[in-house]
Amino acid sequence: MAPNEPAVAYLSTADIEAALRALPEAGWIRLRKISHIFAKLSTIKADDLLQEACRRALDGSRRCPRNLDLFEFLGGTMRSIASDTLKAEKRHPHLSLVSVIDGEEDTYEPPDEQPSAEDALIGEQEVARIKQAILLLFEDDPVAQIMVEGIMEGMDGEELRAFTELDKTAFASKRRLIKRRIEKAFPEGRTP
Amino acid sequence: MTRQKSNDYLALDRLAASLVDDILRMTDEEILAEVAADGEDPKQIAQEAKGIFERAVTICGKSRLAAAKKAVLSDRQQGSKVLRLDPGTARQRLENILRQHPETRNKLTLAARNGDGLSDSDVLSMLEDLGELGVISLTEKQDDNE
Repeated sequence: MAPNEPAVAYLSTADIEAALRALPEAGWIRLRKISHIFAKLSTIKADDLLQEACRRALDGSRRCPRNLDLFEFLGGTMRSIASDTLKAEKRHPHLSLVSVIDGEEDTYEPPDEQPSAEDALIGEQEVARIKQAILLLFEDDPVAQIMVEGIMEGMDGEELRAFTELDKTAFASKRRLIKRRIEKAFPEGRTP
Repeated sequence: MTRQKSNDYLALDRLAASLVDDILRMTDEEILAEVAADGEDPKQIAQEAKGIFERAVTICGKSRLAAAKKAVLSDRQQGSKVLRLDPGTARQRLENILRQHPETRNKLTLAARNGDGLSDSDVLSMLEDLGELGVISLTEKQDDNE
């Protein structure tokens, strides 16, 4: 490459496929965990979410900047898909992907850009229901519940720690508890 | 008009992003230890996730094949425009073209120059070749079809 030639800004789809194929066990588990988190707080199945994120990365419809961590990239892709799906819930009840082994193609259908007023109301109710279900998980732990509410309000880091009035060790421990409890709450990767 | 995201939606999105940040900060060892603590088999979970990735690879492969097939069909349809010419019109057309392009005519064999011994398919094939070489334009070829 010539000295002044700019570096390629994005990974090729072949690079992404090669990087994924080279993942160790922990890497796959990390991706699975991320898909479950976004699935729990959305309405899409975790496996469908991971598959759709991989598909978008592999066909180039989502491009990964070279300087971005692959997990952050796929996590961001899953976040975007989960967000779209949440808004599309009820309007697309067949959103679940069909296995290609059965001879069917991926049936993912992107949401309409402009939902009707009724669709919007249904979507709002679903989102409110999921949020309430999450908060109820911490009924027995007021500090954890306050912490979750703080995160939901956009607090993080030192601001969140100060809000909960916990020392650093207790704060880190409480964060782990929150993550673990939400992870275990809905093992199917989907809220009830 | 873009609908403003609800506060509840933003709340869930922030919570998910925060939890995922925690997962991204974990070491591989911590990830494996967590799975073991839950009594799950890390190998099996990893295998399942890899299986999902492989399905995505298959879907992409099928999409690429479908796109390639579509492109080939499209090319064939374009080429068939010349082949639909009736033999007499095609022969007449070839003679006209060679008259208008003497430099091309000089490069052909004697038989081809006179049109002697050329089958109908040879004539159509030459028209296609002349089209691909840019001696005749696509418009000229389309005009022939009309």
